[in-house]
Amino acid sequence: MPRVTYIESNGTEHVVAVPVGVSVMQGARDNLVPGIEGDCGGLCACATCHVYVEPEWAKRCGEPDELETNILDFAFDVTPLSRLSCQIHVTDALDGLVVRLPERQY
Amino acid sequence: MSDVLGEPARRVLDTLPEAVLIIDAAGRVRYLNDAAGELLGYGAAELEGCDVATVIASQPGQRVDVVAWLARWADEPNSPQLRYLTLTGRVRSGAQLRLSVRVAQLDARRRDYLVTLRDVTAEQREHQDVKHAYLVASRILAICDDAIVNADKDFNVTFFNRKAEALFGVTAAEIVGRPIERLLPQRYRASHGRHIAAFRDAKAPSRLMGERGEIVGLAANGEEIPLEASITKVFVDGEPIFSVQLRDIRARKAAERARAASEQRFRTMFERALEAIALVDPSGSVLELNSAARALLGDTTGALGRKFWLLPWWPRLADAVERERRERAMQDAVARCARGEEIRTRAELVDLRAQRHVIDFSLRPVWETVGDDRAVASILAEGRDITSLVPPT
Repeated sequence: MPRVTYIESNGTEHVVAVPVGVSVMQGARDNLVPGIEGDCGGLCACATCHVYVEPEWAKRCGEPDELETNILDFAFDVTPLSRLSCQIHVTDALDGLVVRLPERQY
Repeated sequence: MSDVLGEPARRVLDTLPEAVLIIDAAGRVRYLNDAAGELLGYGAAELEGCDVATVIASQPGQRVDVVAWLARWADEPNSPQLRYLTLTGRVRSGAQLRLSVRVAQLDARRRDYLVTLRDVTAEQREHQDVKHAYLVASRILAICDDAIVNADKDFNVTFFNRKAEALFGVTAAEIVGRPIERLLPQRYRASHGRHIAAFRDAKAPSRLMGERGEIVGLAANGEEIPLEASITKVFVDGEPIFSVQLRDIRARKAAERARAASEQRFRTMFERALEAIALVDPSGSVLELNSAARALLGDTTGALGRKFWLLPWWPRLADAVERERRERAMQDAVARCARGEEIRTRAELVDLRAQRHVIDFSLRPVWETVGDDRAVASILAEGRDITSLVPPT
């Protein structure tokens, strides 16, 4: 099962196994990783699962679509590496993915 | 600016308990009703004509363009985002509010928007508090050293923590949604449902470890595991949720067996020793006597707990002064041993048949270490009969 590392803004790291097909947001929620809220449950409608993808993984995670780009308006401190983690679905190619969490989701 | 509304419409909106703004396409406030004035702390004359950003703005670090989003939502009034996205209100005092908004296009030609505002600050705060409490509680359950298994009204597993995964050798993903009885040996499954149903209907909300006997779990590899269990029930919408806390007692039982075996071995050695042995506490009270010591005493009634120097095996001297001197000497020897001194001497005992025995007698401290502290826990008194080795006087 692919492993994903979530790094909280305070540096705490959570390395968890996330099944293929499950979103990075859901993987965080299932493994009780704090700092990813996912209020809308993965509808790309709330901007509370904002993450920064580590640069070396950005290309493999793909580009955000128009809806995600729009919703990122509500996230805080957005950068070119910002993604909504509900829109990144784990694949074997993403085994080892590292994402950093912002200081706030609200 | 309030000419945007006719008087009848204005009266209706001013009567509404919900806060309403009307803004134009450029984001200027054209009207606010009384409820909006109360919510935001502004009078109509102060706010009408001002940019809506005066009262609804992005937060630092956010790039949201409020007017663009209001226009977007007006075009899609049932957008799912409206359920989850909130805007930030800024009242006259400077305080911030979280505002849930709905938008409708009021005048397509002029692109005026009617915006309703609902203060969800407290609701969001409570929601956050509940989520944080859930996260903390869930993390505790996830890592706790007991297995936690939850089941629903049909006795299907709904939660399975990491310790449960390690104990039963199945993952949460494999067992959640499956009958909890899969975690029991076949012979217990039939009665298990009845026990749970009886617990569901019982008045007690919980049964704790120690209130019930040991149970047996079944691991994926077929091993049967002795367990202690606590169970509690919570009714949600009239349906029970059962939560079971399971403690693996294999190690404890093995330790108990090892301790019992060890106790048996040492008890045998103690009892079968040729020397008379007494175990005495540091104050001099007798704790135990082995069979050789009991044989010397004959009647051991009252011996346990009695001061060692008052046991009837010491010679019952007619000379009271000498008897007291010997008792004090033995009492002093016990006190010195309680301070850590080893004592070895020759003593004289009298057995049941009034036979005198010369004894190679010793008092040795038994040390106990707790943390950095070392103390005498008890005193081992041993006597070896050397009468036959001593030339008659």
